[in-house]
Amino acid sequence: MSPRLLQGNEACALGALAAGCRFFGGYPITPSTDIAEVMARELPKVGGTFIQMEDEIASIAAVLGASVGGVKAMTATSGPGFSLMQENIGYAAMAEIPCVIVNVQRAGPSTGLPTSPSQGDVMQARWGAHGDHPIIALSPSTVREAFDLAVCAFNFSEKYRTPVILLMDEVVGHMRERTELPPTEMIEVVDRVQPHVPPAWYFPYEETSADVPPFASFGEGYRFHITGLFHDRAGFPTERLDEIQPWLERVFNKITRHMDDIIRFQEEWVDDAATVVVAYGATARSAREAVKIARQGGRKVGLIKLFTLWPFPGELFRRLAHDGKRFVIAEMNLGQLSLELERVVGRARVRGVHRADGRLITPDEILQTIRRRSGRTES
Amino acid sequence: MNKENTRDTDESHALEATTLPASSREDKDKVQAKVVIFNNWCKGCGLCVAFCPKDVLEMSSDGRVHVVAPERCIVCHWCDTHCPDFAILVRPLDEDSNGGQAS
Amino acid sequence: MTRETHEAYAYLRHDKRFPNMWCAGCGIGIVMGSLVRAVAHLELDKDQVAIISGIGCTGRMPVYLDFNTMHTTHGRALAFATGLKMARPGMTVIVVMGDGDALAIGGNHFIHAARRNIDLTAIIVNNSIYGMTGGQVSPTTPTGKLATTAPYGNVDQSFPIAELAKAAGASLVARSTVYHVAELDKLLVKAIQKKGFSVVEAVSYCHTSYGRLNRAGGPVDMMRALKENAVTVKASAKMSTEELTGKIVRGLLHEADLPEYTELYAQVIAQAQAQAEEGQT
Repeated sequence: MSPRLLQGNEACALGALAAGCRFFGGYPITPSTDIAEVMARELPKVGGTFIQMEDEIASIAAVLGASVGGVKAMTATSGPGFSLMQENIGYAAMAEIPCVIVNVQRAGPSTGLPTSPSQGDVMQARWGAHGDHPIIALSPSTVREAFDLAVCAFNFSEKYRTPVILLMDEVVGHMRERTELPPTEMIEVVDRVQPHVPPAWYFPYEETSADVPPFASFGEGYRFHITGLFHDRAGFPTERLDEIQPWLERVFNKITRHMDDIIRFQEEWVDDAATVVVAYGATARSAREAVKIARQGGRKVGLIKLFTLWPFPGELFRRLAHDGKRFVIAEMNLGQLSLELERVVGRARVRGVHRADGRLITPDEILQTIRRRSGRTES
Repeated sequence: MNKENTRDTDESHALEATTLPASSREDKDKVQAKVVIFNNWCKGCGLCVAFCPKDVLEMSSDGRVHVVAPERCIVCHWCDTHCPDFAILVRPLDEDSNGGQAS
Repeated sequence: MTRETHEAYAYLRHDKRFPNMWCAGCGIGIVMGSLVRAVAHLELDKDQVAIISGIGCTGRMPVYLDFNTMHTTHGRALAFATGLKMARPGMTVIVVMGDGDALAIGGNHFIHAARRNIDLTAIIVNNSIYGMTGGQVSPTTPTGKLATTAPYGNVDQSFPIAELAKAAGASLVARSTVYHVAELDKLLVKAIQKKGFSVVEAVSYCHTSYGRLNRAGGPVDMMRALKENAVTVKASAKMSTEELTGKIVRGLLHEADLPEYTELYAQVIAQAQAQAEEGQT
């Protein structure tokens, strides 16, 4: 496809469509509304469904209803709407229903700054829903990445029967870049596994060697029960320890046993780096610029741009810390993913560049911290 | 009173009462229906006993419903349409020959 | 109905533990029986029937039924059902909710499902209390009655279910009670067949919480009260406001032929595809 000027939100919507999304249930909220508008226009063209629901809670509920009907479904929102959706995101995690939730982050808390960027919902993406549950969250930093990670989000949600959160931010969502989208035949699309056995032998929450049970669709001859209560392999409510414990284990294994597939990141100049800058989303653009300038000045600095925020790529950083590297993490919040990095490599190895006032972190701000971080060890 | 047993669908294991000792039957009585109670599902709420227009049913000491006078049953179906537990079923004896809805 | 009562067993999940979890004499099981008889009467394909519920005692209904069943979050059943119905418009989607689930936390979704007139059948089992959580006041608890969160007597007015559903755009509104099951069966058949948003209020009772707090007796007493206090639509037309106080008006309350949401959206799809072909968008 020839390059064209594309908006981040628009690219996200196009990526979803390319991944096979055929249902969008949403509610307008700045700075995510463009996604809804593109889907409203494009979905009916391909026989899909767009519905503007009465609120965000109804939106995610409708998404889950559609997914249970066998249709790949998504919603898009920002902070206040994301907060409203948490209960049903938890339901999706408990019932193992594939879905994609896009959160185009804006400065919070509360109404905050509707048209300014932030990365303040990172921890919420991990723990916003109550109870212990794993989650996958991805973060794009360019318009092209918004497309690619939208596809990736759907593939992960189908593969692992889990809600996946696409954490964008207002800058990436609203910016326009010259973008070349991949040709359709180059796009890998993953569909949920259908049952291999006849209906009488189908258990929607069966323990299988793949950790992820096949997910039949309503209306296809497999009549089963879905509930947010703890349930046995048939989906019936249970309070038995010997049914709850294995479920918890399997659902966490779904993620932890597939880190190789789920952890996506990009690294540059890391091999010889003494200091590694860690960033994601819009901040990664400033980080890259800062690292380039630092290297031009002779500093041994590397860059890790994270695509997967959750599960946190602990092993990656543990390995780098073991090699003696130190870290500078930049994020548009007062310290969220940095807490994870500190947890893994120790606080002494981490310096943060933080702001939560709706302004982008500039390359210069990151450069200052790089200089302070690496100043004592290098010229 | 929730019992953990799965349902036994074989009616022959349920408490039927279509034949009574000859001494308790009047000659003119004609049993119109088979009244079946699934013991495992009956919670003894007493609705059927209280609302049966012909006193066909009684609560027994074991906390479940017993059919004491099936010959009085007029097949009104109050009991089996109001039982919250599907624990009672009225099958008219001429159901198959009539082949249809009797109420 | 004879054959259908017997046939009802074929619609229960054979691998689910029975007896059901409701208190002895609870009306929810009676509504379940009525629903099953309605489905049996319509000879619907089980694979194409979905039962979606909210949270509460009524929310526990779907698991017992051999259809595509979903027990969702409190108040949101209609929103889940909307998504499923849009994705699979050919399915018969029935939503069962208690009065608190449907009208308190679920009120907004109730309004909008009615406004869309989307082809769902909403069954509200109204026992005028929050039973599962021990007897708190609900939007339909009568004024003056006691609940654990209204220990001095409820000061609220009861939620006008039928009026609101009609005003919002529902194309069928009906009410019956768990005493009047023959009528309830017929209304459910009508509601399920109706293309559009149908609301059936099934008036029940909770002897365990409401009954105890308000000295209304056990299941037999409360069932008797339904029998005595329900009046038909026809009879109610001749009654004064005073005479109607405390009465339950039962029957078909409203019916209209209105455009249905999935059909309207199918037209949107046709239009979008036509325009795309002509290169207009």
